[in-house]
Amino acid sequence: MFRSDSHFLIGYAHHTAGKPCQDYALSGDGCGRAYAIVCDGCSTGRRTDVGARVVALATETALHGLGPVDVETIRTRQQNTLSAAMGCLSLTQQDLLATAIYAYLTPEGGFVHLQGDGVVACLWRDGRVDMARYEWKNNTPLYLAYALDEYAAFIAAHGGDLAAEALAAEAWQYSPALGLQAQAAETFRLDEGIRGITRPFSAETLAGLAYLAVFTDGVAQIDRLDWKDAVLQLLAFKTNAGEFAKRRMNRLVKDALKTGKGPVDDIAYAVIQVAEA
Amino acid sequence: MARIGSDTETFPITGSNFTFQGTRVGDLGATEYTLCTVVVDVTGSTAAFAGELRDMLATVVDACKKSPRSDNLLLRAVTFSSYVGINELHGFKPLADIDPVGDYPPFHPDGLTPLCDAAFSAVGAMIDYGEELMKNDFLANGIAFIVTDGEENCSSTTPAMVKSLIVNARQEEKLESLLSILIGINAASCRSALERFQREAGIDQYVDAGTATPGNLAKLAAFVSQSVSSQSQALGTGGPSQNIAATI
Repeated sequence: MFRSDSHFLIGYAHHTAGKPCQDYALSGDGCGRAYAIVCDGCSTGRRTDVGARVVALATETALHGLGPVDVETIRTRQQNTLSAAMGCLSLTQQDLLATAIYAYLTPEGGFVHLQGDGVVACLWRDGRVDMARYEWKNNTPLYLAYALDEYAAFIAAHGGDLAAEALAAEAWQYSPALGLQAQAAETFRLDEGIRGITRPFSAETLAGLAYLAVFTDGVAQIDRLDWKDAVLQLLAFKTNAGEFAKRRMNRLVKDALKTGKGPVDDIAYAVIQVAEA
Repeated sequence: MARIGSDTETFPITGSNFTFQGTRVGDLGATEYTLCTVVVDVTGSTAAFAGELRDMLATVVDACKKSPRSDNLLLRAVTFSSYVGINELHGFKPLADIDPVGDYPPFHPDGLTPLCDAAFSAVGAMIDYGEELMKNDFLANGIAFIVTDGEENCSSTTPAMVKSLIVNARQEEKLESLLSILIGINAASCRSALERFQREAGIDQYVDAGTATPGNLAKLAAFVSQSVSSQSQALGTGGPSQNIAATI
């Protein structure tokens, strides 16, 4: 029922500065379920290229665990894995500062869960695309590793008021007939952002869904390409076998380099294709 | 990357009545492919070493299967003579789907030499299939080998038509790069004619493989597989391999 693929690339800024790619993406499908994960390491952290990978793998491991797959269980498993990784690999919190967005689908439904910032997009079978870009105030996104001090420093950085608005979602819809149209924006309180934002998908909703994709915020930093157009282009798959997302991103970057510098920031995306029943 | 399947589709070669087969593009799973074409002369004059020619082809496939880039290679094998025409043993397909025992039956050489038609089919199919791949987000380059022991004497196409295909493909960037190599085996007596044909047809290189001894044919197989590997490693660089040997 599901196929998945993912890709991540180093951005121009890191490439020229001799820094590693701090984005990472994973996806998987099989046994009647699929997942897509993207993580973005903090550029001012320490070894957050490693951190992004550890967070992604911790999330993947959490999704493979036995028992229920709900965001609270996943969060607990993620934190347990991060703690173990810190111990085994001598990592500090500064190494693990990375966002995570992940999608998890089964034939009975699923969800997308956002821990940080980035973009979520749905391509529906009727050609519509719904996309939402999540941004934190002052460009200070949530990182999973902040749980190590119970988010104390993070909350302080956001002014200390858990009820204050801290996260906003800019939403757009594309339709073949009407093009891009702005949708109602959403804002979230600091405590909501810390708990993470969840978008559920019912089995009925999945029936109309063709692709579900999660992106790091690098999709909004492609030179001379608006993020909404980047999302649409990254969902315009020509074929869907094998490395379909990698092909699409490689072609987008190749085309973007003809008119500009291409991705300025590191970029990652992971996609789940929902096969028609 | 995983190979998805080997269902094939028939494609026309632009500007001709020739056709070729290739794996359905929608079934291909990797991000990039090198299209390899090996075209082998089975005219009457090759009868004495037909078995060795067939073994050479099988050796090329086996060697390419060992390449770290084997998952990114699609190979088409063709024989030609006025007796069999332009006979596709198989179209572009993943190496894992090629069974030299089943796919390469013994050759039965006979007939005259439609060398130009063979070159046209080799180059034209590679360009058309590569263009189809590129349209579908794949990165693709190509390398074709035309192995012959004699000069052209009965084609319906002309060297200028082959050259036009190649020039047009490069101008329109239908593939990231395209290399074509004419190989003479047991062809000392018609070397100058083959070199002239190579120039007129716009083929990149003429290589003399010497006499058709088992040793020389083994070296030919190694040359072909190493050249394929070099061209495959050049994918993504924007140009063809710079490491194709000038001689065998």
